[in-house]
Formats: sequence, structure tokens, C-alpha cells
Amino acid sequence: MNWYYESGGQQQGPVTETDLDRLLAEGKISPDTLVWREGMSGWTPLRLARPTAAPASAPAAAPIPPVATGLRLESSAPQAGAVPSATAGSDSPQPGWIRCSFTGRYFPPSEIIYLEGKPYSAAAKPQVVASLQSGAVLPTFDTGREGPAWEQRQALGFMQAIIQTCKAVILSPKTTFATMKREGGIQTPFLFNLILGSAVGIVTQILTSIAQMVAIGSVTSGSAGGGSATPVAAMVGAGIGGMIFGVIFTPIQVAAAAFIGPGITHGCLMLLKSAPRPFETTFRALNYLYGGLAPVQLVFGIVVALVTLVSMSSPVVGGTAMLGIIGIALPFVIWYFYLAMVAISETQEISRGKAAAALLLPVVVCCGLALIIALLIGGIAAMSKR
Amino acid sequence: MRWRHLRPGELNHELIWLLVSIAAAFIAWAWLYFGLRTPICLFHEFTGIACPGCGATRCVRHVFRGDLTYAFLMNPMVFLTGLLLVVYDLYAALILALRLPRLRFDAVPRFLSNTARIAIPLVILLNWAWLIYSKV
Repeated sequence: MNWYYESGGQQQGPVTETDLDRLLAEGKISPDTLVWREGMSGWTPLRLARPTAAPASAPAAAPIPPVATGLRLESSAPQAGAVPSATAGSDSPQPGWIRCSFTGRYFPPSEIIYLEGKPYSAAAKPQVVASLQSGAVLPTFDTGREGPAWEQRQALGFMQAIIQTCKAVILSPKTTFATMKREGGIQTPFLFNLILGSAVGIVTQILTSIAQMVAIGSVTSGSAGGGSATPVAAMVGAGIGGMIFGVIFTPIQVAAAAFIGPGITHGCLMLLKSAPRPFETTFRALNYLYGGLAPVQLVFGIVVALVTLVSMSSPVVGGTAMLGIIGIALPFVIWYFYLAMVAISETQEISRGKAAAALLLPVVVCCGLALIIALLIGGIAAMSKR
Repeated sequence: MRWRHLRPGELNHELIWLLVSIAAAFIAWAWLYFGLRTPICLFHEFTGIACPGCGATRCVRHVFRGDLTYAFLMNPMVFLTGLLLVVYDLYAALILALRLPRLRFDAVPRFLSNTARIAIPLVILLNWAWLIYSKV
């Protein structure tokens, strides 16, 4: 059985199945390479065209070629095994062209249909039809990327999904973001970040405000003369005011930051020509990162509240504690940037170096001191291969 | 560059960024109004020289007071970025209110992307030079 495959925008072949296996083993083609053989209605990724069981031979009827527009694959096949000119699409976006949700390639709008709001090209037809017939979910080129656990919260349960997602982000970020779903809307990761970020932010604000009020109370009651009731009441009021401010404004801050951070990062990726995937991918990755790190932020918030309590009660001890806070904060900041670099690198499928550059660019612009952190992260990026 | 309506499933960027910029402006106003602590510049603390972001908070403060000239002088880059954001928000509000086609770059022209890659770092450097010269 003869196969044809696409390579560098050109049609190659015919080759036998054995040759195809050899090419795959040598890395000259990949499971996503488009292939065709007689009997297939269109070009299909290799991983789907050749399941483990060898397909039955097609009847000896001349195949009907798909409409040949866009990237044209020249055929030098003999008459008997005529290969249709295929609409194989383009890897890079052309003006007005639309990305097929299954093959990931770009096609003219006239060759795209929408199913469940997702665009599909003619090349995806066999798999789409198979999915519809079996009642399965429509295929996407991200099939195999189903994580993290929060995406399956209906099956796992709300709390279990949160716990598993946080553990995955903190303990195994490479695997988590390598298997993260990159499409499917922004609502799911946004909700995850909003819930956890708001909860942690509110708790931290409450703890800090309580610590301030307790510290003020202990200092005032211990001072000579007992202190005036009016300043104490004003301070307590400020503490309660801070608490109320935090409860009301934290969700708004979290929601705004959920978009601003990925927006700036994606802009920097585009500036560095390192954004092969759309904004939605960057958004999903960073929102899962922000939300997944919420437990760590909570611990840090508790530590800050305790230091606030100590520093306001005793300036000498408090000063040392503040230095300790900075000592803890710096490694945390570096660790956060490392995780963000892994998240962007694995989801956008770019090198660690490019991801690090995109993440650090706005920080360097905002504060030149970040050059030191940039060098540290750059060193880590250079040492870790992708 | 084309004017077209949203495709099924496509992100509504106009709505998203209009809401985000309104939320950000509200938070900035509330932060300054309640006199909450604003971050210090570590770069300036250690070196005595302004960093590229110095003056941003004062710029925002002057904008809220209506002192646009002072706001511009505090940090021209932040001021101009805010101005571009206002222009975008007006475009977004108009598009959403009248349900007009959106402006979309399906494939950014190469000259435009190359110009941006040169212009943006240049603007940042010029702005930084101004901040150092004016001792903001």
C-alpha cells in the first residue's frame, strides 16, 4: 500500500508502510505529519490515519480529489494511483485564514465549517465524522491535553479538583503544563484563579488587619498613662476599614490581574516573536499558575501578619523579622518566575529562554533592579533544556 | 487588517479589555483615595537613579487631579500609554454599543511588527533618559 506525506510544504512519496515507519523512527516525519493513501478522502495526521491495526484496502476506485486551494502539493504520482491535490493548509497564519481546531493549520474561510463553535477544515472530516457517529467529543489538535484536575471538577468534586490542581502546579509543574488543556475558553481557569486568589487575599487581609489591631492594643495598654482612647479607636477603625476594603476590593483586584498579567506577558511574547499560540493559551497557563500558588501565598500572608504583629509590638525584634521576610520573599519570587517560565514554555511550546525573556521584560522595564533576577533566571533557563 | 464580526467561539477582546481597564482605573483611584501604601522603587533606593517606571504613581495621581501637564512630565511613557488605553476603550465602547465589526489583525504585516520591535525599546530608553535628566 502506497502512502504520500507532506514535508516542507511539498508532497513526498509514494512510500510503503515500512518506509513510513522508518521515516517516523528517524524523526523525518512526526505523528502530526499529514499523510494520504488511496481510499482516504483527505490528508490526515499520521497518528490518526494509521491506528495499530492496519486498515483494510480501499476499493479500487479513483479517489475524488478535494478542492485544491491554499498550499498546493505538486503530485508526480503515476496515473493509476493518482493523488488528489490536497488542501493541506498553512502552518503560519495568512491574512483572513482560520486555524483548524483539529489539524492546527490555517485554511481559507471558504474551507472552514463551524461545529460547536469550533472551526474545522476538510482535512479533519474523517475524524470529525467518526466522533459524531460515536457520540464522542469533537477532536482537537490538543487531544491528549486534558489537565489539570480542575477541568474535570464535575467528576472529581469541587474541593478534590482544587487540591489536586494546586498540588500538580506546585509539585510537578512541567508535567502539569505539558498536559494542560490549551483551548476551551477562558472561563474555567479564570474561575479557578478568582476563587482561590480572592479567598487567600481576603484571609490575608483579615489576618494582617487583626494583627495590626492586636499590636496597637498591646502597645497602647502597655504605655505610660494607658494612652488616649481616641487614637486607639481610630486605629481599630482603620484596621476594620482595611479589612472591609480588602474583602470588597480583593476579588476586583484578582479579576483585573488575571487579565493584565497574561496580557502583558503575551504582548512581550509577540514582541519577541515567541507566540505561536493565541492569547487564550497564555491566559490559561498563567491563571492556573496564579491560582495553584494560592496556598503558598496564604502561608506567606500568615508569616507577614505575624511579623506585622511582632514589628509593631517591638521595633528591634520587628526590624530583624522584616529582614527575614525579605530573605524569604526573594527565593519565592525567583521560584515563581521559574514556574511561570515552565508554564509558558510548555504551553506555548517555546524554549525556556524565550519564555524567561518575555516574563522578565516588563519587570526589567519597570524596575532596573530586576536585571539581577533576570540574570539568575536566565542562568536557570540556559541550564534547563526543553 | 480587516473589519469583521466575531467568529463563533472567538474571544471578545473589546469587552474584556474595556472591563479590565475600568476595573484597573477604579482600583487605582480607590488606592490613592484611601491613601494606601504605594511601593517604593528599590532601584532608586540602591542607586539614586530613577528606574524606567519611576514617577508612574505620581503621574496617575496628577491625572486624577486633572493636572495633565504635570502628569505627562512625571512619566511621559506611562501618560501616553494611558492615553492609548483611553482611545482603545472609546473604540471598544463604540463597537460594543453599536455592534459594529471589529478591527482584527489576522496576520500582522511584517513592517508593522518590525517597527514595533524597534520603536518600543526606543521609547522606553528615551523615557528613561528623560526621567534621569529631570531627576523625577
